[in-house]
Amino acid sequence: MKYLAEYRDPATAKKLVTAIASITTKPWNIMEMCGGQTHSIIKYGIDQLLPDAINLIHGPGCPVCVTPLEYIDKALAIAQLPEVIFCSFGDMLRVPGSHHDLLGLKAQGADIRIVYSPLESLTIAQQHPDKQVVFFGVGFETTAPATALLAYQAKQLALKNFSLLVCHVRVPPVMEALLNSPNNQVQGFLGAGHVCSIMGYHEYLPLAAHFKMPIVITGFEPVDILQGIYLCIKQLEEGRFEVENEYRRVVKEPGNLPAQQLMQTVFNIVDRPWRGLGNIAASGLALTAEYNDWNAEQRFSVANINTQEPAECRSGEVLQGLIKPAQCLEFGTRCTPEHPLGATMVSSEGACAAYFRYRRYQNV
Amino acid sequence: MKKKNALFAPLILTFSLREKELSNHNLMLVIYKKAPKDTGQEYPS
Repeated sequence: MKYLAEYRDPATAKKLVTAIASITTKPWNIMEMCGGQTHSIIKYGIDQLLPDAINLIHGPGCPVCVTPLEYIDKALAIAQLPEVIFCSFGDMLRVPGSHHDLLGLKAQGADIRIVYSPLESLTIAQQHPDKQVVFFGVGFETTAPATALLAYQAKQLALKNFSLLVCHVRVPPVMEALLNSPNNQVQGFLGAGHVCSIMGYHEYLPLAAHFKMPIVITGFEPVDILQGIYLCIKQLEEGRFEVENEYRRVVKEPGNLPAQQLMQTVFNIVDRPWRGLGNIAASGLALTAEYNDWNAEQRFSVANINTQEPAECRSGEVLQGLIKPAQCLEFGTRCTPEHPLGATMVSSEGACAAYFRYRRYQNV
Repeated sequence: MKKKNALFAPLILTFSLREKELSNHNLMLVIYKKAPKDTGQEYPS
């Protein structure tokens, strides 16, 4: 398949592994920003092919994993109301809230539906005028335009029985927060290709310059990732700090302008808590005042729910790259995809879930 | 075939229980692998 098979070619991958080894003279820590990249790295064993001097740190790039507990609790509070049909993608259903999860609520009789597209929830609202239909909009700039389109269409249709619980987040502010952290170990980034396909990469230029940090916008196939690592190591070894675009077949510098315009129409930039990382300034997207009538937090009075993260799950440390999933004592024992303690074990893009799927027997 | 299935069913059950028990100690017994549940579309990154 064009644009796929050639990026999984073993001969090309081997050449890149050799090239990376030949230019690496010092230890380097590189963080991949996207959960899809984390998944590919573990699935294809890319980290095991690299020289020991290169340490890949798995960043906070899984949308479900970084959604703060308070938003899960808000979703649960709304979903349990008898008049509500709550729509979500599938992986959110097993993320534990403070006391239960959406799947448990569904088992108790709540009308919670897995949708395959945000727009499906609009159809459900039109089919059930006697019910309040709510869509849970979660994720990075990649998925935010679809939620924005949903809000825009709901407003155009003047739908009174539809609203959105929005917890979208932005990538550049979290990169800045990680680099400002006293625990920071990151020396180079593999930028998230999907996010940049929407937003372009001009937002990363000041970050690279200010923090003297190489940022390579990278795709998701094994050859993409190896090429991204090669470009990043080359910059580090040569003392350069630039934004480079490895994912040229998808990402252009300005990004997707109509999608950005729609997001600006529907969303404001706000401060937002990230799971395990705390509150990060200007890192969230919330519906503007013009869309208050479609804001589920306003409609169902859940804005004041404020939950603290439990101490037993170490997903915060995993999301900051301070520990690898297998270093958590609960990994694979009390915490499994079937019975997760935290979100990083739930979504297939979560680092803990990827390690569980591909690495759980590795150190036997 | 019926006899074979009847023979294997308790074995598979035993192995699945055994794997669960052993995984608590991070031991390996790759005999039985449970298919992941289909949860539909996931939130993409």
